[in-house]
Amino acid sequence: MISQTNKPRLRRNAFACSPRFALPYSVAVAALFAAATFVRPDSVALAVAPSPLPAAEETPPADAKKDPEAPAKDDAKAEEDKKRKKKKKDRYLVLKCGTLHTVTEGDLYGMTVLAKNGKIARIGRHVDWPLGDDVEVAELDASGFHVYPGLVAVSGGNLLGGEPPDDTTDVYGLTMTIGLAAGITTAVSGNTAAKLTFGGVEDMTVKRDLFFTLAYSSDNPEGRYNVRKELEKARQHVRDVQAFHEAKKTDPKAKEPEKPKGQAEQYVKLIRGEIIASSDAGAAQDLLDIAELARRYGFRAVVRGAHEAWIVAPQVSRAGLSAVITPRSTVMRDDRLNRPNGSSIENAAILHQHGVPFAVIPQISSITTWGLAGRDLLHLNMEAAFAVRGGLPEDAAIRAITIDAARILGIDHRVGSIEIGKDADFVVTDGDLLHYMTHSRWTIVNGRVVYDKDKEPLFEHIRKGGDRDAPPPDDYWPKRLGAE
Amino acid sequence: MLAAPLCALAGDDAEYVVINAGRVITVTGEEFAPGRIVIEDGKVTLVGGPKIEYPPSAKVIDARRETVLPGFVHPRTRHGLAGYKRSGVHGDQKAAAEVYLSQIDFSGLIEAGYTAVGFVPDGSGIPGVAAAFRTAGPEEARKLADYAYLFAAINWADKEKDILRGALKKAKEEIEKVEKARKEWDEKQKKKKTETDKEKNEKGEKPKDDEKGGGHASTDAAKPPPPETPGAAAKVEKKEDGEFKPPEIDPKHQPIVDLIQKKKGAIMLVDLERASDFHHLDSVLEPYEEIAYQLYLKTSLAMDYHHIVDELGKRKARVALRPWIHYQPQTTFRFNLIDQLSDAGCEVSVVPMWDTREEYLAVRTRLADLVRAGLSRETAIKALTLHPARMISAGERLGSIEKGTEADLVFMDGDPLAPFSKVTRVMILGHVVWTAEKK
Repeated sequence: MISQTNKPRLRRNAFACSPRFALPYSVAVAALFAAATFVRPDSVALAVAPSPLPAAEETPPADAKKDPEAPAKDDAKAEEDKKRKKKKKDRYLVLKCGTLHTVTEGDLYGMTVLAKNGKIARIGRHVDWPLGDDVEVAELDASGFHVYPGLVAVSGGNLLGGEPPDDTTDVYGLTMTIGLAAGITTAVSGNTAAKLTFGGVEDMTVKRDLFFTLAYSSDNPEGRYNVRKELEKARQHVRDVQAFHEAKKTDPKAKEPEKPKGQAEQYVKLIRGEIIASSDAGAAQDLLDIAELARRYGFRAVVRGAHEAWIVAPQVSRAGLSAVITPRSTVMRDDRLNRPNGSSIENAAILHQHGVPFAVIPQISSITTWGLAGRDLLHLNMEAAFAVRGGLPEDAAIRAITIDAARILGIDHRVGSIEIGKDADFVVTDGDLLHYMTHSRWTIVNGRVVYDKDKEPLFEHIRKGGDRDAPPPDDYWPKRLGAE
Repeated sequence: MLAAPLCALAGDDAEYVVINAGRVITVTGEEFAPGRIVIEDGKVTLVGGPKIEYPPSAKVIDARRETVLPGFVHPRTRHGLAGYKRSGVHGDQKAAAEVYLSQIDFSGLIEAGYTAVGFVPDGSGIPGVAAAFRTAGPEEARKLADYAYLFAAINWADKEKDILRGALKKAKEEIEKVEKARKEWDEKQKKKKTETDKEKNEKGEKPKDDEKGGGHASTDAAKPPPPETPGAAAKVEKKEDGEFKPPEIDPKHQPIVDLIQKKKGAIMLVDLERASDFHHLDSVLEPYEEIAYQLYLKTSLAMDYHHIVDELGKRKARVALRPWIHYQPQTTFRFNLIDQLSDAGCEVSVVPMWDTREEYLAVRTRLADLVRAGLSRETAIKALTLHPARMISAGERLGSIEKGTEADLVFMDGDPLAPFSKVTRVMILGHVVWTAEKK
């Protein structure tokens, strides 16, 4: 199983507003906003900004008296002032939610989420935030809407530029906009997990060097042999190092084993559990082989594809593998084989029953308009919905595109659920995430609203305001392109 | 406006030229219709209404049916230059070295009213330093500046962000290298001085004698003479043994060092391919304090600059782009980007669509289109004259008609933004160098 050590410590009921729990949190939040004034907005409508009060001035510490002997200090102070001016303002987002789907902590109603500088700072019915010239506050009234954590695409295709994403991405690109319209806020580009920070390259990269690609295919016996040889060598090395440390206690002349280089180093890291292996494996036998290898050498692995995992789910589960699956993938059954084979719509449900963590990705892991309509990243939620069709519980399907996907990437301490301390990435939808009518109304990344359905011409005309009973759109495609 | 002192000066050998124009567009000041321009030795000394005085010795040019305005400037071109592409960082390369004036046909530019151009070096990355030239005039006055700007032709789409980042990092290292060497040298001198003092004290000599000694040289030498013009290496000649000799700065990175040290006039022109690249540029420049740059907005890859109009305006950026009414990407919505940029506060220059004779001639027509779509006339004229002149570091000399500017002027038979008006004469430094053939 994937370790959960990275998970932030979160007290259950942390969001509850009973005084017992509210006290320590309000203290913490008060400390957070120490320098600013507070307003209590619960008496006024949230969309109406409370009258801004001037922020309390910082009182200089008592010992910071002016020293007439040190003019240099004044220079330093002036420099500091300059720096402070240059320093960015604290950024707040106040998100009034209709239904808050925290994913890890259940659904909550009538909550307000406060994000400070792109991190979730407070969740509650009564939330305070500072006002003044030295803070930047954005308020978004999403009452009547559903708020989910931003979706995580374990394979990013063309949403981001390349490697490294913060150097190569077109942050105003159409694919990024479409990705945000699909509710995706985190995607993988190459071997890096990064945010879809529309309109800026700030705070983009989440994690580098995600996986070690393990090519262990039955098509390539020689490759398999080499992998096993390397793993054996790596394991031997780890044992040698342990032996050396033991021997050093008694014999100071003990010789340290030589450090491995290049590929061998990667294998040693794999044995030590420092990186996760990623392997393409679809057929049952391939999955069994990876499972066997992972159990023998004790490493963590993610299998991609895994369309026959439903056949060997117990073995996959026992080996601690996680999977990236495509519920709508179709591999025809071969009747000549005297065993179960081919893909199954129940794949996700069976893996879930066996406790195998999995993420869902569509058949085409990029934004395209060719070929399989509705099977690209624009329909990530639809792909998860198809797993529900095959028997998967709805909450597990949502987890498969949020927290479980984040866990597989090893970034669940930052994204994938709505918890205090995590990144303020949300997708605000006009309905249930897995419903075919649902669109993202707003998508928020790092506490900034980066997609607004009403402002982007993509889906602006479809069911305005999320009204499901609205008549079909009163326009046709040439009109949308500007022709009257 | 009277010019009494001029009459007094009329006795000297200065060469005076007077233009009696139907209309004078000064660009920076008011328009005069009719107007008169007095030029002394190639420089404008007076401009005003038709009644301003001038010395009797002056040569009078009758342009009562013409409009006179400053010569147009093309700030970024490879017009007539042979392909000499390079990639990587080449701050030591100069476009001026590529220009052989006798081999370049400037007639298309002159016919369209262009009197100055900024030649850029060719290639990607940082291919070198751009140079400013006149399109006509006496041989010795053709070169306006060896250093117009440092050219950064970053192909952001080809993931060349690292080139710029690496170049800046290397330049920073060079600066640190010099600083470190200076510190070491200072310490050494200090040590030496205390040693000599000690020695002298031991000998019983008075410390007064060492006032002429080498010890004091360190304080003088500690201030390096800053190079006057950017691009010129900071050379501290080794005069004596006691003088500090800084380690040599890599000439390829010298112009970037100048940028970081904010030498007077040091500026970089960066090509952008789409709006996103502005943020990439910003993230590269973030660790350095306010590096001076101007932008060329390419429109070949994307035209989504509407995203960054406000940000560019806030910074009062100097931008150049093609005279076009842009389409919003993936739509048929058109918008006047140049108007938006200048409204936001940018200093906009226009660059011909392509470096061809037809496009040089069409620039005014295209600008007229933009004026019809909302751009102000003043901005349109400035975008052809003053703003590009500033881009090639010649804003003090060219681009406007006022006291002290050089008389590189264009005569037209009508309004510069009227579709059928043509350039009739081109003047460089007070001499008419080109006259249109009469039909």
